[in-house]
Amino acid sequence: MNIVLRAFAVYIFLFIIVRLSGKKSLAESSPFDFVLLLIIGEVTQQALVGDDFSLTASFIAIATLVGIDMLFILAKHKWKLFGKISESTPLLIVNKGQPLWKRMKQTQVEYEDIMEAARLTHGIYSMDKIEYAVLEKDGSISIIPKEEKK
Amino acid sequence: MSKHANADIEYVDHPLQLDEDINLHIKGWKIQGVAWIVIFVFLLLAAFGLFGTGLLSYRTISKNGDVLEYEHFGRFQGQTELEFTLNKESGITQIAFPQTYIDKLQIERIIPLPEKTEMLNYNIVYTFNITDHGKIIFYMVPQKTGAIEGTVAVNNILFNLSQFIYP
Repeated sequence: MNIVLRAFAVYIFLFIIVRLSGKKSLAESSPFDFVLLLIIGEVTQQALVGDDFSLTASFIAIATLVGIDMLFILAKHKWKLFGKISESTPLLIVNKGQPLWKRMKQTQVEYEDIMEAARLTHGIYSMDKIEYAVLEKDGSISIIPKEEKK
Repeated sequence: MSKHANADIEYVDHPLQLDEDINLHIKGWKIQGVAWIVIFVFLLLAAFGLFGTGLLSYRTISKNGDVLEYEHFGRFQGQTELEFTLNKESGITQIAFPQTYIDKLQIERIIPLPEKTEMLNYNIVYTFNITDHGKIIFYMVPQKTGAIEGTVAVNNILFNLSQFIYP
């Protein structure tokens, strides 16, 4: 099969699968996610070039993948809805110190994930010191601490 | 305080400048749920041979005591087998494949090796000298995708093959 078509098909399939898996997998937050990414890399290599180990095949596959990526970036800038669908949007998961449990359940975010982000970024050790927490597009959690009353 | 009471998700007011689009999230979660059910169904079907080796793929044709077993579903450049179990106790057996079929499924290996291979009337004919109801296995690698039909002749008895090769 034509290398360009193979690269295109693999990119689109991977994009859809990763998008469907939810945001948490993007953030590589667990050994499972890390192992998964390693194995996917190995499996994908075979699908991209098959038995053709020539430089030409590799260059074509790489150029196709980068080209598709650039097209996606252009499409995202041109059509805001495309960007929202392809990359999702941020989601508030803690509001005024209160976890939004249903949102957390839908996005598979655990209470401990929020606390881990709080400890790592702000040294915060308690939920009552968090004002807001946002699940970002890339699967990371950003923490806005409560303002200390003077 | 939530403005919209909703059993499925919390709607909240907040001062953050956030392009949140909660309705798009809700639609996305529903699509995600359906998509994963579809994917798991396909995985289950794949485990049972929808895309290659498995129950859904195995086909058996029996004629005159000779049996042909093969996989209906295959994958491009993924190995597949044609296995002949012959009724004949011993002697010469000829298996003929049309050239058009061989163009699409390249024969990689034959066990046992044929005594003679020749081209006759656009068919590739393999001649075997078998003993004791022998099995003959052709290991093949699809070179084209899509539906592949072909008629294999075993000692002039025709077996109609129907296969589908995934990209």
